[in-house]
Amino acid sequence: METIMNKSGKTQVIREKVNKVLGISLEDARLTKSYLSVAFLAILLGGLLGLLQGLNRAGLLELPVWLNYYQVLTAHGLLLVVVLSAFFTIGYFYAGLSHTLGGLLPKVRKMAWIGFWMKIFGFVLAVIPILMNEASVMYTFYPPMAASPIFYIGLVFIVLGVWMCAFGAFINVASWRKRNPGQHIPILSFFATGVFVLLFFGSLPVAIEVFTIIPWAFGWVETINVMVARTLFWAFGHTLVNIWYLTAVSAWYVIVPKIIGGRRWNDLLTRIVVIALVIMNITGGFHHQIIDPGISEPVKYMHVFMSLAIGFPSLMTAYAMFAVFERTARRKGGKGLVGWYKKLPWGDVRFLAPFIAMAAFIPAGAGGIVQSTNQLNQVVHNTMWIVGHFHLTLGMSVVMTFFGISYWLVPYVSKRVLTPQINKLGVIQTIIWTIGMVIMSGAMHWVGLLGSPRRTSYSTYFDNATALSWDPYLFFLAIGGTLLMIGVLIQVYAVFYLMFFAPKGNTEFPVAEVEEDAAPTPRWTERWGLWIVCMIVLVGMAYVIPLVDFIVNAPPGSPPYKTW
Amino acid sequence: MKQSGYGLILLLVMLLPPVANLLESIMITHMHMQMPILVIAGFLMAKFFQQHYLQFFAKWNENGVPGILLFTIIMAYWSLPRTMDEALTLTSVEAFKFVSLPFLAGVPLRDSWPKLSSFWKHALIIFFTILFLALGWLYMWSPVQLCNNYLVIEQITLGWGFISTAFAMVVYLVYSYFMDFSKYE
Amino acid sequence: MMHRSEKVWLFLSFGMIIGFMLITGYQTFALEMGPPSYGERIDPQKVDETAPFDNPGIKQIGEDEYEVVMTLQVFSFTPSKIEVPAGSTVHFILTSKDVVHGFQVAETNLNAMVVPGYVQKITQKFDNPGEYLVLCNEYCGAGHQMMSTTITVK
Repeated sequence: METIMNKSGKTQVIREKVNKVLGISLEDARLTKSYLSVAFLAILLGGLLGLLQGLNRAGLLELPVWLNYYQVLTAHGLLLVVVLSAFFTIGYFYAGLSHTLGGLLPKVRKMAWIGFWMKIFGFVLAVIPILMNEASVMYTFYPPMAASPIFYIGLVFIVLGVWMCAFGAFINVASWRKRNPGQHIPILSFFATGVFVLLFFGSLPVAIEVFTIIPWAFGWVETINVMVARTLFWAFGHTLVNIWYLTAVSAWYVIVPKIIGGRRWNDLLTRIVVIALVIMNITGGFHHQIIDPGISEPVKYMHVFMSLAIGFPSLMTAYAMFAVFERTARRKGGKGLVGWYKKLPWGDVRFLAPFIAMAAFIPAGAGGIVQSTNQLNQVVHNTMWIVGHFHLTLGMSVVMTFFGISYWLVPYVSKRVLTPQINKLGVIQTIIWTIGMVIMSGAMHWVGLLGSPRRTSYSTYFDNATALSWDPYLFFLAIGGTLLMIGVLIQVYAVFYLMFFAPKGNTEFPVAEVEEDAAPTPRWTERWGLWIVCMIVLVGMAYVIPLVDFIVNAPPGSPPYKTW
Repeated sequence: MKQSGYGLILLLVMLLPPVANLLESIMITHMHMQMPILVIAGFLMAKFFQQHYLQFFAKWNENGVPGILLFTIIMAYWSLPRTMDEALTLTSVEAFKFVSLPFLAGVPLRDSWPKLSSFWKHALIIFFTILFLALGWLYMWSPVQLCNNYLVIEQITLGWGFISTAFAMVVYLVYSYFMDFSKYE
Repeated sequence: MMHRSEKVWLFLSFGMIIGFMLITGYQTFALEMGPPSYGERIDPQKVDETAPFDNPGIKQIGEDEYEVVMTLQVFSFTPSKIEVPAGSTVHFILTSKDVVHGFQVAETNLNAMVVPGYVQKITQKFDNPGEYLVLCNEYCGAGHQMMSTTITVK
């Protein structure tokens, strides 16, 4: 037994070395390529649907009856919020696990493939009722609006597929830890562990919600508890957006310093940021319910703290990023208080895109802090401001980081190289995307403050003067949307060119090293079980009060409605 | 040393009347937020006492057991419904809460924990898990209002709070039972 | 391990978060500006038979003070077309007869979720005369973009 263990351990060590020299194995590469292909097809389709909405909101386009605004919006949300993000995150982190842990274990690879097909199957199931106009419920599907049961069953498969990938990652990390006693999980895999822990625990509440919805949608149960469903949804919904944010943050801490030729920020502080985001994330979802009935003001007030607390690790990140930039630029001879910025590689899309993404997070994060504060939330809740906010956070901070990643990750997995032409195209794409998003999201923020609601097709509200005064701002949605569509087309072209047609060669997986004089990181950062326990305690603190109240003092439930 | 300062600031913040009123207005935040924060404040301040009264701790809390017993007694005392009620009505009991939880629970916890053997550590967690399950059961199924100041619904909420905390502790026990940390170090 | 400037930065960050907390708390508890949080339960399928929603409408309850009992349903507000004199304070009592709706009045801070099974309350003082647009800001179905009415302040 012992010798067998040793043997397999040795082959694993050899495999790790081979991996370092020859790059990613073909099988692991195929997995990531498949995930990334789906992600970028999703952005192509989702972007197109987004453009249709922009044109409609501007009053320029009337959508046909067989594909109405709300169908388009449901599909846009599902494609970008669920498909793009989940597939990109998994494809990226599985490549990261493969690179930093010496290749994926065969059974983990198999799990990731099963997860892949489960998600695809689930997604197809969910899309069919949307196209048939049987599920125009948005991706938030608040009961008592009831879609076709097929839609919810599709969602179940998507969640199960995600869980497959989460457990695959845990197995791979655990096996690496056993083989490398006393060592820290490599930083990128540490981020991956955090992301998959959150994906699993964050999707538990929505899984519970969907399991209560399915019998009700079939008509086996007559009524549903609306507020419980809503609360469970947001325990998941906000965690999900922070998962992509954490994915983007991993690239900021680990990848970007290498690309600019520098070193990574303090390892301990980086790991603390990951741990803090994992522990505090799920409770943040409550700020989506600040103006809901049935939750008392003191409870809402305490949740303000839980939401704002997430801002703290983000502010730590902000400092770390600019400190790394300055330090690197000064080493290269940058001078002056701010003059050092000239030494950064602005012409390199792998830096430029994530940099603009980070810069966008300054107003985006500030907006987030503002709107999770009770009274300010009341001003902007469900207005276009919110749409502007998440296009700034997700459409810029997260997605532009993903774009930046794609210019080295895709050539890395396809064993090709980034050509100067594609780099230039990427820079142009980044600029177009930035302008488009700034125009669109800026206009959305502004018109939201004036009162224009989200998730509403073009309407003058019977020629109401107030509503008519929003039209000039809404026009910018069409302009921004058009620019973004051009950006999507360039980006998708670049990804598939790099995947199949770019010149062959070796591309490095850029993982930055820590400073030479860095202090060793303490062992306690590896106690994932403890972090999960802390997370459960915090989730308990946040959700026991409202959920017990909604369940024990439940009003009579609601039957299903199809109002579209 | 700095953390002792943070602990003191935390205690002072908790003493502010609006903060105390807010946390005491809901039964579960009174017991599951205010009280643990007071213990944490004491836990942080313990460094100060350990440095200044080294002899005292070495003499009276040599193996950690006396300290952890004191901690357990104080925690068990404040888990009773009656004590919470009295804290709200009697100023002296309220004052005792702000003294006992940081200084008689938080400080001994910090001093004792590293000194305890893993047997005692696990015994303590198991004891609190059982205590919390029992209290959860008591608060959820008690047919009468246990506190004059809180409604029955708040009582049920607190019961679920105890159950979910107990659940977290069970997760931890299972995790530390199945994980052999020596394999990884 | 931490640079001095980082400590300062984190201290300021933490201070900012606490500042937000203090201001929010002061507004919520001292100025009573907290978000709409009323939570009385109601049978969502028997709204029409349950007081006060069996008789929706506007009622004067004091000098310059009005109470509006309103039901929201796909895709309308009952009562529609509300008129109050300038300077009056209006208390809205709201519930939904079917799905989740939003109650928002443009150019004011009136904004509340109206969930079936729950009664929601929100208050606003209308100082300036004019026609205010009331709209549903939670997607509620095919006619969601038509769900609106007005409040006229004279």
